[in-house]
Amino acid sequence: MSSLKRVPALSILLAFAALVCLVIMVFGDALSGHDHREMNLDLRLAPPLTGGHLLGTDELGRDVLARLLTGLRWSVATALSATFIAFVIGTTFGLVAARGQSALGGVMRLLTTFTQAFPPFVLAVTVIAVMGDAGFFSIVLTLGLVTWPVFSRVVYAEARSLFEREHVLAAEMTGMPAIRLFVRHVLPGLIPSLSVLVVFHFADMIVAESALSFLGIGAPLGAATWGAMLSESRGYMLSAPWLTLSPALAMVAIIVCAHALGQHLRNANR
Amino acid sequence: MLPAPVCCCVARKEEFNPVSALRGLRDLAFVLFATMTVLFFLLRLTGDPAIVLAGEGASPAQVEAIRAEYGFDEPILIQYFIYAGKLLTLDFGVSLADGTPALEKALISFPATLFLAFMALGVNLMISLPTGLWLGQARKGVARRGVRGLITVMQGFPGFVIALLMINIFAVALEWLPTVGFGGPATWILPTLSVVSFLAPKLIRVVEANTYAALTSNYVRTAKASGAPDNVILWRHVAPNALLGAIALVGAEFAFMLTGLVVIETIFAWPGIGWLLVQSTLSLDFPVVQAVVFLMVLGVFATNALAEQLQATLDPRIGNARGAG
Repeated sequence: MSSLKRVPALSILLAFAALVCLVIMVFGDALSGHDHREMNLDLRLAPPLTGGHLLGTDELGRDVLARLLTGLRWSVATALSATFIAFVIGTTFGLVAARGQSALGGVMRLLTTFTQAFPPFVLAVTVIAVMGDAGFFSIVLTLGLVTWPVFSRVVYAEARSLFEREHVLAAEMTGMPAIRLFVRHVLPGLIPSLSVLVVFHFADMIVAESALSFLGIGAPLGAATWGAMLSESRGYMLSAPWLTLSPALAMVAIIVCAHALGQHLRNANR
Repeated sequence: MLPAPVCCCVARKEEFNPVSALRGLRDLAFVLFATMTVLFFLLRLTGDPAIVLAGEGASPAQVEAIRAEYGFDEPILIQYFIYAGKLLTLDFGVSLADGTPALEKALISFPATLFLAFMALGVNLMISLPTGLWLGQARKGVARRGVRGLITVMQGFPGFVIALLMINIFAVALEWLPTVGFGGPATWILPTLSVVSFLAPKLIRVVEANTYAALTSNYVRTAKASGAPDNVILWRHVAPNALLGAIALVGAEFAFMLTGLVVIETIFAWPGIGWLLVQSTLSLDFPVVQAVVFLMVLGVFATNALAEQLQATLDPRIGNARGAG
């Protein structure tokens, strides 16, 4: 009972976080009153709350808040797109493998081992090199292509039992086409676990993208992303700790929110 | 099906099963073959190592000479077959950077990663097992709520962010520990804690859930009804089951550490295999990348197989199921 009472408060909180996120996505650095590229060499490494800079400035006198907001835009956009790609490939593959012969199940298992052991970093560098330069599409494609087995594993396991259920068998016997069978009778049964998975994967993608940008192979050079901000902040840890703290805490905040949403969905499904 | 009571961890003698061992080897061969093939073609698309090797300001003739010297001028399929043939004899070629054998270079950096992984594994187990057992014994209580809240927040911290924050606090601000490098024990602390900080929350959660499930199971109820004291129930009936269920996750976490410490190793300049991977990929040192990935795949495979075997050996239920099936 107590959990029932607690649910609305959390829902409101999460909805509020989503709204804040959406507003930032729409307005970006305009909310900070500064352009994220604008440099002010007279006001370098200004601590927070000085000269109209809420979170201070970085080593080139750029407004940290403006960069943080632009970075959120980038992070959320890349993470959402990467999650979408992983979701589409993973779900399709999982469904096909669950439907097909047992040999496909063996391939499933091997692919899982394969993608677990294949260092995503190598794939990231390669895809970026093939596509010409580091940018939105290369990073999104890379993350999607490396992480889809997360989805296929779950879909495969659950769909296999769904295909044995009576309502699915009955629908199959009426001669329903396979696609329609998937969409009408199997997918709905997968939605509870898939929705949870999507949210957690989104959080993982935020981390992964930042890690790549941190290593300097994600976002284009000079772009305002959290990973790049963290990387640049390493030279100023003592003199300007806010350069590390701002992107770090922003990232933690969005991940904690995503995890809370995932947990919330999981509990709601039970 | 309710789990059968496991009162003590008597290891069942597992009979050696040649069929499953062969199947494992076949899987390994397939994964290695697939990985090395994909890797070969991916790397050939990344860039032209001949230009990197020749250095800036090299004339086209010099680049051409280097291309011929390393065989980069052959058609890519021919290159692939030469490469595959050499792989069968574990010949990865020499590093383009300094001419040392690539496999040797990868092998030299492997112990550093293994060392970090084992330290993190040890600390992780020391923290997670007691915490999970303790948390799983009750749902309520201020202390337990506080710890659960802390774990939830900890799960939001990516490992490399923790690493940066800890360097910021303990190395830069307080100057207690060295920032980076691989020297004495003082340099081990921050990397280990960074890894543990993102592995522990997951393990604690699983041990907690297993403990709770074991406590509410029939065999514990039976033990209680027959008058067993609480601590006997906890250590003889609950703990073994809760810990056994965590073996799979511990194995997965260890396998992850063999490939996933790239960023942490880079931050701490830890001379492990992840760090070598970054260095060699960015400098287009193909042979080294190939040797590193080969070792990583082997490591992940061995870890998964070991975890599975360990679980089957320690858990009589799985042994039974195998025997029946």
